[in-house]
Amino acid sequence: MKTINGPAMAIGYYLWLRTRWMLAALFPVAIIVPLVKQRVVIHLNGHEDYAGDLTPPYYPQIIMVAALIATVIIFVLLLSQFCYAGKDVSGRESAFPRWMMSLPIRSFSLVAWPMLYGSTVCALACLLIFYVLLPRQAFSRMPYWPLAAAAAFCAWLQAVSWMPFWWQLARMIAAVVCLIVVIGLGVLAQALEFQDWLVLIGYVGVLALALVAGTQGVSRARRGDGVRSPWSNGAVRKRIRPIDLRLTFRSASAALLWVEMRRNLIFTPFISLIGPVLIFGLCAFHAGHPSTFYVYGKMISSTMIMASIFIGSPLCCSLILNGTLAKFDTWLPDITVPNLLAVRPVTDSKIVAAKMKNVAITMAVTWLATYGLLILWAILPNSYERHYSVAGLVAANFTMRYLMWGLIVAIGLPLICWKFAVESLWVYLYGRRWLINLVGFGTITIWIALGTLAKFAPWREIVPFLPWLALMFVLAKGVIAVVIIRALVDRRLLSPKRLFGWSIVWLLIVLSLWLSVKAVLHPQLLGQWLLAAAVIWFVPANRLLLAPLALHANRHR
Amino acid sequence: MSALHPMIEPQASPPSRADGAHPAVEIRNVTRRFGQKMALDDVSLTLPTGTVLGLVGENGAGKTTLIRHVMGLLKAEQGLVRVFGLDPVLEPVKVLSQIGYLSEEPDLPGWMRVHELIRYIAAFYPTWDAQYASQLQQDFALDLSARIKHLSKGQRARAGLLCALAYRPDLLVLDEPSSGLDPIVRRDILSAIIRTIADEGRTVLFSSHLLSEVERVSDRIAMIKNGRIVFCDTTQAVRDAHTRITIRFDEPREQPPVMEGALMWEGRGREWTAVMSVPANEARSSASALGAQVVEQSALNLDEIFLARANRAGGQTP
Repeated sequence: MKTINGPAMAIGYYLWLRTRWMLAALFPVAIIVPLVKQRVVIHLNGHEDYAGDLTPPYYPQIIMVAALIATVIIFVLLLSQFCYAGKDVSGRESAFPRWMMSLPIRSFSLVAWPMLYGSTVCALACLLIFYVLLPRQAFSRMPYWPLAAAAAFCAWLQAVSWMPFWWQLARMIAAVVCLIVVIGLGVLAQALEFQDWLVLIGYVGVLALALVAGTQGVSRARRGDGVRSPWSNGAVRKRIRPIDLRLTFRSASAALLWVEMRRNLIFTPFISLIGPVLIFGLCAFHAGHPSTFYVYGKMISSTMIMASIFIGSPLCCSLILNGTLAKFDTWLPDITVPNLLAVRPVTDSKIVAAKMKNVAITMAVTWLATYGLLILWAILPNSYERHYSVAGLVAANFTMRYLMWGLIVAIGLPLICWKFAVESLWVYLYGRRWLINLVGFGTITIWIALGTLAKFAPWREIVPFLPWLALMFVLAKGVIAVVIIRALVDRRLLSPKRLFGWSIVWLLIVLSLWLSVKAVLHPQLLGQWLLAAAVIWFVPANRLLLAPLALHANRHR
Repeated sequence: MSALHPMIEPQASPPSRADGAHPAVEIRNVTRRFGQKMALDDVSLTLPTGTVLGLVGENGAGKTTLIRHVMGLLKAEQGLVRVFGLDPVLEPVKVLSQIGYLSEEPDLPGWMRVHELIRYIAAFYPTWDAQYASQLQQDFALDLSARIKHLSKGQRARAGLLCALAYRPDLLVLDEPSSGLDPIVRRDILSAIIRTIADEGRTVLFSSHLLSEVERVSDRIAMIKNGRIVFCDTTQAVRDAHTRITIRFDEPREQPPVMEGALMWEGRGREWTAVMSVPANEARSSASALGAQVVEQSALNLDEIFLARANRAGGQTP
């Protein structure tokens, strides 16, 4: 058996084992996409660059966007591997593997080599994204700083992951601050028109600082320092009030919800508010921001962009992070049911019900915070066209009709997010990584395929068949529901009495939604049968029913 | 914790809820594979109520897999598992409310404080005995305000044990609970088993590597090897069914002799010592039939039986 000499080789080999599949996935992107660009894009467009704006033909954009999404996902996975992710993100302890801490190597070597490898790979991945996947006309001049920024960001993310923190959320906040500072440096340098070599020197300094911070962090973690508050002085806090063990929760459901809220409540608001808070900060402290932005050949109002970010961020988060809320602890990588819960006498349906309640509370918190931020932004004196406030504009054009629509949208948005999230719970509740990957990548593929098909579909011939298509979808939903309900009854997860009750509730929701939309919608826009089919298709049923079934398969393997 | 309210204390040490009509655990022809590996191979085992069964076997023999089937955490690919006559997969609430479970890694959430853990677990069991929980907490010297991640391994095991005992389960399932723990914690776990036995009609199923402990508290012992039950009997019967015999031949031999029931041979030349899975008199008769003289014969302790069984290739029942 061949042995590995030296820490550089050993750490390199360990990182290679962790990242080889992701690196292997990058190769096809690096080889196939330029080929596609050569063969397809030039053939269709007559030149190498594909159009950035949405002008026909669409397929070059679709191909490149798909490749871009895949590369960005691989890039994020690579980052997590180079940070040795896998521990509790909200934990105070260093994420650096314990077995490596006991190796007879200096902390500097333990940190420097993975930082070097990680930064290099991230810079190369960034090179791929910027110079192969993005259209040339997206930039007036090809920037070099994103490469250095990617390398510096990877190094700082590693340093932050490996530092011990005495406050639980400090790691997440530090990671966000690093992202802002590292990217902000490049943006600032561009705005001030610094020379490229100066920016690169700046980033080398940032990398060196990351190395120092990482080494310091790992040294402290090796000594076991850093997880206690500097003010606690090692003293153990004692509760003055005696703890009475006779006090307990009202029910098992209350206990389940309590744990859900302790571990899974702040994840979505935290992630979804990062973008809006940054944007709010920019607007609040940068009064001279441009009133319009030139985006791919079109002038777009900055107010529209800001409002889209405020509204879009929680919507995107509920679409992307939705299934994560099904984990028993969002901050941990495990997707299996922990023994602590699996061996308790509680039904799978009760566990799912607690998760759904928590998702509802999470969405309410997220949207309340978003609306709060949106109102604060709206009253800024420069929020509309630099010289006026959005609140002033709204006040000037206030009507009861607008208020009613505003309220409907304000209530509808959290409800839609809740729907997205609870419909995806089953994917994570099943507890198998392959299903999560299959559904994630499968959804992206289906949407891209549907977009492509929509372009080529002979719509004029299809329109007369739309009611039949809708009927077919409704029938398919019904058949799938019957299959799932049978499985639920067979496994004793749903009693006939409860099934009857839920069916009535579901029908009432469908009926009331159909009547409401029918009252609002212009009768010429959509036939009432087509509308009924759309409502039946929209109101969640099958994927909700799948949740306890998936949990059953996870709990009793 | 706003949802807290005082709970009604049940009577101390209530009688077992098991009706006695069904055995505590009944496993019939259970087979389970993990990929190519046969984890359980046609295993059958019955654990009557009120007995203590010690499950022994090497690492990877299938002890944890068997226990996870009893808990309903694994579904039998073939065969049948019943706990108090109920299917643990189809009726987890009824089954799990009667089982107290502690594993080698108690899998307790590090962020919880001890009193939060106790209150959380108590919410699932209508029979939770708060007074008993308090008593166990004092016996184990558990700091209620400490976070679980700050507890030592022994304290974590004690917290897990408290949560497994405080509702006075009819069946206590312990999966290598004392692995890697100091003698004081091991003593606590053993006393818990003894206390559980003292409560009328309660049953204990526990797996351990520490055979002296198994020998001390078990009524019955089952050994599992390569996913098959090698033997399952009372402690005394297992000891009686094994013997060590030293025999002497007139002529020196290159190879150990062939004797039915021999698990392990040691020696060379004229004198050979065997560990045999037959009673002492049968071993003597076999030796005489080979023309050898019995030099010494002695009883074996569980450790020696386990070693001899573990060394023998295959897992077939003799």
